[in-house]
Amino acid sequence: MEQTIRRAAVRGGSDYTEIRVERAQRTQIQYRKDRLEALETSTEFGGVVRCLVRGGWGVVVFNDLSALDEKVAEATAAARLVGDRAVDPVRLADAPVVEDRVTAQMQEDLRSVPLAKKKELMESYNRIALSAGDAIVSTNVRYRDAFREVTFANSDGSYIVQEIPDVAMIVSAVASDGRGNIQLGFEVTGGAGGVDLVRAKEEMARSAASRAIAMLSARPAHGGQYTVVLDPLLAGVFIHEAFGHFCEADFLFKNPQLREIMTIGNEFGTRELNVIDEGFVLGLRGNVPYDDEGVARRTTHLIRDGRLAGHLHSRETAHRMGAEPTGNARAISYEHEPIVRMRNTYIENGSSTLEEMMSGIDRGIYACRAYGGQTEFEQFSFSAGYAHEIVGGEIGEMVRDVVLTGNLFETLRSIDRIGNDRVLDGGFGGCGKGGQHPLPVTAGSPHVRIQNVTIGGA
Amino acid sequence: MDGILKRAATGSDAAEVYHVRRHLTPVTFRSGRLESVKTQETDGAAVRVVRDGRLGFASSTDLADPKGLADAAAATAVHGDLAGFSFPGVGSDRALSLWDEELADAPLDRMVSLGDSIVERLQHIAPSAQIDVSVTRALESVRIENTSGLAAEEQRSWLSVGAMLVRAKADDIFTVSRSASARSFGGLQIDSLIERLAQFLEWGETVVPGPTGAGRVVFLPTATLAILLPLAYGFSGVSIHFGTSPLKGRRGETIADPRFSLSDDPTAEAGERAGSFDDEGTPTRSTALIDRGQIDSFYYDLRTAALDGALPTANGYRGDPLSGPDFRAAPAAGVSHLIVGSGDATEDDLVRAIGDGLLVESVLGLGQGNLNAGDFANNVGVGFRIEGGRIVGRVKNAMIAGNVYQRLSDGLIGLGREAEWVYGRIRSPAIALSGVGLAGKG
Repeated sequence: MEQTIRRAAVRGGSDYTEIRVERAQRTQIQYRKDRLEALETSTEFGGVVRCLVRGGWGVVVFNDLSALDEKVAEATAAARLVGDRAVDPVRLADAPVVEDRVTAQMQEDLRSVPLAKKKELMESYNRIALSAGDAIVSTNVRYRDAFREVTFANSDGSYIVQEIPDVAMIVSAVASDGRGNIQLGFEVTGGAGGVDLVRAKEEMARSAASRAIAMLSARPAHGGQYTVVLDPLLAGVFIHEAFGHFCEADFLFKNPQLREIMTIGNEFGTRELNVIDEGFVLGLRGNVPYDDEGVARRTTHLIRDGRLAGHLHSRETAHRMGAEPTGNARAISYEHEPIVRMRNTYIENGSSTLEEMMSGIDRGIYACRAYGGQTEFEQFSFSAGYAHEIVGGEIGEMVRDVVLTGNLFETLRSIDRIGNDRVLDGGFGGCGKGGQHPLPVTAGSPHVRIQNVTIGGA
Repeated sequence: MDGILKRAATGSDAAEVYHVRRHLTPVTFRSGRLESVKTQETDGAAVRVVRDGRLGFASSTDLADPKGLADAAAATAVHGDLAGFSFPGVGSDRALSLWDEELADAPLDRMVSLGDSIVERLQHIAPSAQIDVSVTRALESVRIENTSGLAAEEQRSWLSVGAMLVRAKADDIFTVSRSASARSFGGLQIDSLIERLAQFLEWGETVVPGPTGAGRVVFLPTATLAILLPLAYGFSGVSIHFGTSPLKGRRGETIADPRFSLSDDPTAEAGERAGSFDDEGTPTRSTALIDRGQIDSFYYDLRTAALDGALPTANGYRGDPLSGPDFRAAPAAGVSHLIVGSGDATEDDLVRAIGDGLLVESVLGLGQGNLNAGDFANNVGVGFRIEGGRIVGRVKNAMIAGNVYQRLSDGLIGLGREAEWVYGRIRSPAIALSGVGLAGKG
């Protein structure tokens, strides 16, 4: 196979060709209430060829790997269709030729733990959540793992084989008062590693269930403007969703106004604000030793001391913007072409303790965990998993239905305190962009305090 | 394929093979220029087996190894849950018209020229905007076989167009997008797509403060997803069986205004998920969920129906309803197309009836409210302020929130008379509601 791929990548009539071949094994287990809802395995074997001809892309995706040369020819023909009329041809920034093999680092290998053992583990968490109280009417415990082996070859001569493990779990519990009040509590975790990453998580099950019950007596938040303290997990989702996507150069280079706003050196917030996109931290879900264009990882400061310090690039965007590739061209699988994506993205520690942040807040909201989030350009919207009132500098009663919304740039400028207690977690789902979802990423942050945040509510 | 079923059936009480071949051709234009042409062939299969009464599931795209696939399904069955249902033996006796030869045979450059013509028309209405267009053809051949004797097969073609305009000014980025889809080139309604976008651009010239407090909102068909998603959760047999729906045990009760009716209709050929059978091979039919305000039925796949002691409604779908079909996912209760009954008002009537409030074209943050309870909480993507019964400008950073069950029972102002297909998944008129929570920075 190796020789076939190497030969196919360098042959043919394109200006540039790359081939990715992927073999993946996935497992999914789901418990709902007292039932095992899913126990599934899948095998994936497929490939993608991407060719560039006179600055136009042609892409062919396939499951039949027996005729790789034909696929290269097909992708070349499609690329020619685009390249023949390219007004603004694509060029790629230079990237070093790489020969490497990256093996997975797992304590407890995903592939060698029997299905029955994974199932028993999830069953045990489900039992804990389900028996946490009479008000618990249902649970949802999901486990997902994947072991991918991705081979990359391009016409520059690079040949890279990477093993990519991924494991994630969500434990959620639904509580009801029997009169139409139904509330959800959940906990998530995920990492690039083995089954050990989801062991000894009984506390997650207990806290998901007790929160669902507690939320039955929480009041809905009133809509309005508040000083808000975000917990590290919600702040992580905020920085990824609302800010991180703005740093993705594929989004910037087509829009002069945005590029202006996102000029390196522009001030975005307090001097204490530092945001980093990191290519590799052992065990994190967003790890990308080499991206899907074969570019080696590097650490990118997106904000340094409150000022914009970097963008995230593919080889194409790097060339267009006169920058260097940053190793952020990622595809969720062989069915997709690489696009500019984040990896492990976080706000760096500041100096405040949680108590210091709370003090001086007359009336505010302490918003924790992200239930969901979406952005459209500078508008963002997130819902907290749960929240508390802040009254007179103290954490008060629990409130629910807290949805935060606002304008990214105003909100970044309104961050006035950054905590010293950073947490990084890969969560259960992943990032979605351009029809590619879910992509494993990690987000994180310490606690942060933001002034004048709009909270939606009835 | 025969080989897989035979292998899977050996040593099993029952077996099923779902085999899909998909040929997807997305043509992408960015900033008004052709950016890429892609072809994606998927050849995958999923196997379900029942062994000693227990259910197993596996999927694969490595069909050179049918034995591996059948064995993987058998291995999961050892630890699987009790199946409690049988695979259907009788196929559908009705054939839907889901295939268009002309679309299937069209060469790539025909898709490119369709995209070109749309880009050109958009440049005309928005000369200074960034214009992104995609044209995607999906050709699909699905086959389900099982040991109850079913061998059902169908070919489906689908064409969709997405258009996005981004108008950026110094401190304001205005994005509007619309999509259209059909089973053939001829069915595509490009004129109304262009007209709508032009109208939104015009309405959006000025930015005005949004209303706050409890207010009135017209949801255009594209925005009804905010309301329909919690309903799709509430009516799912899964939510009913597991007690996470407030509708459990309430069949026949009135939960909405008598003017409001909702059904799921997989036989609607203009919808993307149309089929003469669902993803489990059950012959499809329309299912009334809400009939003139009353709960008529919930929807079920085979397994959930058996669990809940109900009849299957042919709502066994593979793949999440929002992200689209995926043979890698086991069948689960899902909606095909949600159809909302029309009223008698024009869109202008609804805007006038609202007097003061919001017209919402699109929402962000789907599913971020408490779906179980029927709550919605969304950021308004594209929305317009209504004052004195007319549109006065665009709002930014606005939020809408509420509970669909409360709003549909106490707050239905009216329904549009013209229903529109949106996202290939919903056919709905505009819906006007009062008492919707509104928040924003003005």
